[in-house]
Amino acid sequence: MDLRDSHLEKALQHAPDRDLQPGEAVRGRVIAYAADAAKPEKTGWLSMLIDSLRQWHVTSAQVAGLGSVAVALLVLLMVHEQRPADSEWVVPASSEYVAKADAPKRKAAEAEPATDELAREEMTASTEAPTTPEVVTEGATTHPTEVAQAAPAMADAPLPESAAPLPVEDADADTDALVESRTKSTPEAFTEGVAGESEGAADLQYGLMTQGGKALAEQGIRAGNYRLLKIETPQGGRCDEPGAHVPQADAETGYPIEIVDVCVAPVALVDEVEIYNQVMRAYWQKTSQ
Amino acid sequence: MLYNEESALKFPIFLTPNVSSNRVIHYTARMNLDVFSDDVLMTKFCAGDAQAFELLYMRHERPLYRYIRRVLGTALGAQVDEVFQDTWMKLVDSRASWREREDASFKTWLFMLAHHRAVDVLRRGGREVSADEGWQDDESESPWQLWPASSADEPEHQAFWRKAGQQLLDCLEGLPALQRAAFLLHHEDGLGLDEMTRILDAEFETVKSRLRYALSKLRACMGAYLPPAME
Repeated sequence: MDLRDSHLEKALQHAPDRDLQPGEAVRGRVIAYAADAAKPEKTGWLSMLIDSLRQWHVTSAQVAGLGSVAVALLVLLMVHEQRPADSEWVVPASSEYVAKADAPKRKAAEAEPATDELAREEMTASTEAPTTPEVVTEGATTHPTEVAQAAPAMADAPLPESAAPLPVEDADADTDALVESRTKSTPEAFTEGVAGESEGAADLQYGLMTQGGKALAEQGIRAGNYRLLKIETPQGGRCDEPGAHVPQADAETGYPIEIVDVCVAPVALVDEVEIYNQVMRAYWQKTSQ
Repeated sequence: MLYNEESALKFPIFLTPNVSSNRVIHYTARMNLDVFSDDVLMTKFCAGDAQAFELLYMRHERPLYRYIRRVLGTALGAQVDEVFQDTWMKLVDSRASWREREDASFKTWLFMLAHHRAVDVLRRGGREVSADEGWQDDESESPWQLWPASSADEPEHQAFWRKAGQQLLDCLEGLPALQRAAFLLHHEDGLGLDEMTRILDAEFETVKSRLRYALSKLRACMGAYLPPAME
């Protein structure tokens, strides 16, 4: 049997639906769809990177491995840049405040390396709230009496409950002095206007651990900050209580002794303090001859 | 038959004039894609040539639409546009898998997509899709003896053929969808049995039996139609 019938074929050619066609809307949609599909795909930098890696026959597992290595390197870099954890040497917050509160007295003490008697005299003439001597300035000299005059105003300032200074504009007129003293007594305030080598206890410890005792001592000598350091841990292990230190001076050199308050003294810190002191003593020997 | 690419390179480039507002005539050079075969045009479209697709579409728009309309029949005529549009979009979406093959042309692929989509609609509409019944080989030529010769194109017979065509469409409505599709692909669209096996997704012998069944039924149906002048 012939599978093609010419009569049926001719009848089909003359069928009334010969000119049947879709509407313009259908035609437009199809052509637009194809035109949109023919446009090049917008690829982001990540897709282009992945495509280029595929060209080098890099598998997905290898790409994932590279990504993991990159993340690990980034984390290591971030950890390396970070400052050492504060838990290594815990500084009671109040001691830092107390150290900054005595900045003027410290300034005067550093200006003229005092003898033992003179140093004791000045420091015992200071406030009712004994404080840790503070290293400040570029070596400007201050008369000891100025320090004694400044000290009471500073000493009367009570410890602030928070680090944020009170806005001066909101203070009552009668308490201007107290507000002013409170403002000045915050850790941030003591760093204002103090240029050069001004540092708190935390900064001192950070400097010892990062720069080393030798470099820090040399810095202090160049700035005229002659001192020796002494590590002390709080009595009873109470790191949150302010340390009360009696100002001291070294018997041999006469340099004031700055107490480095730490809750736990790491061996590295002890070593750096020792190095620092050695450099200072060596300088004293050299200059005293 | 794959087109000879080398000879196709000698196609003429025609210029479309565009007159700008300042009366300067600019010419846009357009490539004459009519010389390319379907397979070459499809390959160009895969490479990003939207104009190649447009030409492909215009070539096959009416035959494909007509085929879908006839396969779905009058009852599902409202879904012809949907099936037609879906077929072309499916072709665009799957262009990444297109590659020129010696044994399957673009037209085969296009009609295969359309047929599958149409069968889905028929099944969803609860229509009889397949009835591979036994056929009776009708060797009788009596109906055609009274008909004008199929090769003749006399104007006085045009009316006869138009009415015969309408009658044939009515007879096609009575066929199962797969037999109807087999008849249309072979007679209307000129596809061979090998291509039909891919489009209909059936074995070679199955396609042949469906075609025989369709012819037998249609002859019986059309045999009742005789030109008024010959009754």
